[in-house]
Amino acid sequence: MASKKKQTTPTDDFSARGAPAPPTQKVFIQRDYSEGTQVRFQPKFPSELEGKIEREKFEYTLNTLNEVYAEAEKMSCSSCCEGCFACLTAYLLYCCSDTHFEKASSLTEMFLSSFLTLILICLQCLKKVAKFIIEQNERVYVPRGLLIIDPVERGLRVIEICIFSDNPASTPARNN
Amino acid sequence: MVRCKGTKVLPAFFAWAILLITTALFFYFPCMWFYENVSILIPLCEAVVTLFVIANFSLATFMDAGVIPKASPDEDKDDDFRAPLYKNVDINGVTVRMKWCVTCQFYRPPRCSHCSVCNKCVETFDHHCPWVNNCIGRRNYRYFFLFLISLSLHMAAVFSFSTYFLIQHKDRLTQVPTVVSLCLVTLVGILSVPVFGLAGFHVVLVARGRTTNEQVTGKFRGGFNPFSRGCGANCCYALCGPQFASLAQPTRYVGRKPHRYTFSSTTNNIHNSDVSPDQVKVYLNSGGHTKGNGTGPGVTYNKLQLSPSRPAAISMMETRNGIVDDMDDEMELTEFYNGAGSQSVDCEASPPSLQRGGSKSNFFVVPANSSYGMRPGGEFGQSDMNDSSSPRRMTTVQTLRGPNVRGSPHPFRANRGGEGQRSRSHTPDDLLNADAAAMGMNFSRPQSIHDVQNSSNTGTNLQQRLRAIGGVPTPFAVPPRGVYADYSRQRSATSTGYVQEHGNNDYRVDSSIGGGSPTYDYSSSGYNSRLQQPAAQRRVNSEGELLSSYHRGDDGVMNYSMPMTERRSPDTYHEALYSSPGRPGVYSPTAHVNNRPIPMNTPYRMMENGQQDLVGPPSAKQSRSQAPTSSVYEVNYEISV
Repeated sequence: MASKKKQTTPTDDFSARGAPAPPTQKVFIQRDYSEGTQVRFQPKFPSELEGKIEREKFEYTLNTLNEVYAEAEKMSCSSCCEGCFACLTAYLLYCCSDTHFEKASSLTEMFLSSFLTLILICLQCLKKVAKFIIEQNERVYVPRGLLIIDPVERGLRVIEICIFSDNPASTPARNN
Repeated sequence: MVRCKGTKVLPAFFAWAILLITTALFFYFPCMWFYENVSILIPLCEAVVTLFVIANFSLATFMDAGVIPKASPDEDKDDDFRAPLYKNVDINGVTVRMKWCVTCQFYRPPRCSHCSVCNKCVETFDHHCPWVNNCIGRRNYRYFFLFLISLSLHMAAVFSFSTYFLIQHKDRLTQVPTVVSLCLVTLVGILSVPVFGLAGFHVVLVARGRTTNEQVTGKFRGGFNPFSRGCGANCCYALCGPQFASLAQPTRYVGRKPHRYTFSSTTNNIHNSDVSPDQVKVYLNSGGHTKGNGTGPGVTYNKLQLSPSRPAAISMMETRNGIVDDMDDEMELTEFYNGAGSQSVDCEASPPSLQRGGSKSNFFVVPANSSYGMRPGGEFGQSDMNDSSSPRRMTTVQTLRGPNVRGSPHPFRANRGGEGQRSRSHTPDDLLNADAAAMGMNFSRPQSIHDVQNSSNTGTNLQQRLRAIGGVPTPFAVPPRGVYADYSRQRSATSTGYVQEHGNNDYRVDSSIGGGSPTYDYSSSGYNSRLQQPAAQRRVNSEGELLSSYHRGDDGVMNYSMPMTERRSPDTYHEALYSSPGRPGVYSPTAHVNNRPIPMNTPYRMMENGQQDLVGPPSAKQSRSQAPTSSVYEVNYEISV
């Protein structure tokens, strides 16, 4: 089947984010699978960020993200209730939320999304993460010439940190 | 091969048709009688159950299984095409291997597998169910399981009520309701066998905390499943765990438009003349290591410009299927050996005490000047290109593939990460040379590692020889586990850290091959469209091919590959290259492993072909006969707790 859209970097369009130029470097923080398949990122401080941001701030960001994701994946009473409630409604709320169907209209989608936000725990956590990242970017990272891209844009595989710096690039080493 | 949409939906269509028709007939004929003569509760309960069945069926069919979207090109900008095919990670003390997915361009997380039908990587991949025409993965496994349970209940109810109706109307067998009931009883009785069987199978899986893929490929035959939380917790988690969010539409969480930040002027001091959008540095490991290009941290580099002279070594399999990992997953459910499925090679848990990486290095390259190894039909033995646990035998010329090392800008570039570092794209030259030298030794024992590695410039000859005999130079893109452990040890500072090896831009999958996967917009990210090389170079023989070749049985080449234990010879050649201090080199308790240095090549093969045995593993035949249809690696695949 023909591809319908181009595979582009989700963060290609930096101008939409207010960046004056594309980043000079991108640092990817990988997932930490040591505790299983739950979403968790390695809290190790990357060397590329040395001098650009304080270690404590970075670790705070990362640890908070890990905590929010852990909360999303925790099996708790609320997740059980969510499951039972969905079951009782014959999964209507899940059907509406994320099926392959095209939504009938954007209004319906907005209504359902807002309704679902109240219900779905994981959805809530991901929105929480998004808000947190925006806040961290505005307060901490962008003033230092960095930008954190939400890992959900990368399929929850990596946290992308873009470095907008004035590092004069040395002659690019051409890789073999 | 491209499957037509019609063929794909046919089983699902039949499933829906049978379900709806039999349910409708049941409600119209027997249920009416029950409503009139027995109680209203029966139709009511049946209605509830039916509703549940349909709801679960719909969700299993239409819900995103947990697809991980393809990685964008800039994530994997490593120009080093020697990036390893596998990455190891420790989970609860068990080492699990993550495989590079050529189609999706990332290392598959543990339990993730690539579905060839959907052409996507799916988290906690269970299987691709044709009856729902969807993958069953992390997000919709619960609904699939509940669908099976509720369908079993529904079928039992239909069967029993119809039978009761029949018994009550046995004197009126010619009437329509009775005939319909009879048909219902027959049909449901026949169909209940597979449905109940499958439901029971999944009950066991849920209790054990395994996926179908893991069960079928025998990943945890050794007994320990690092992903299991205990029987009760597994059941609770499967049924009542959190509903994971779909990753297919990240805009749902981050908003359609990315948030616009205010970049201060101090961050705008970018010397645009010095920096181009092409210059990004991907640095992915926890240890903060650079890519090893020798220029230290902070150095940018151009995105890889793939050498145009690099041949597009497309495997026949690839061109046939159009999807690199297709064969991988097509055979997933039918593979019976532990390294077979993409699931297994992605994240098989290996015992820390067992070294399973050595066989990757067992290249068997037939020298052009030797008639050895030429089989009728053009088959000839080839080296194992995959990791030790899943040696993939290419028995046909077509499956040999690989990058032409000579075509690369740096054909004789030394291994960067230390000896034996395996790339995702091809064999390091020294190892190719090593094998070529070994092969050229006229079936004598392979020389010591030092001799072998000291041989130089034979990569060219090797390629020529391969071409002469009709083969395609192959990228032996399989990092041996032991070696990889070495590499991980070098790089990883923590026990949990792991190094993401260099990505390989030049093996970007040609999206047009993939049957409709989106085209990479290389222009926008600075990539040259020449970079769209088929990822054949990284691709090794699929488990399916290996399995089918394994099952051929008589072919000495095939059988050669089967006993993994054979390859774990402690001979210096293999040990030096592929043993890792991090993993004690014990492979398997079988006796034949430890007392026979194994040249991975000719002598063995000759023996299998009935020629004089130079160095023959009699146990090879034994182990072959022991497990004709079970996992190839049953003997050697053990997980220690």
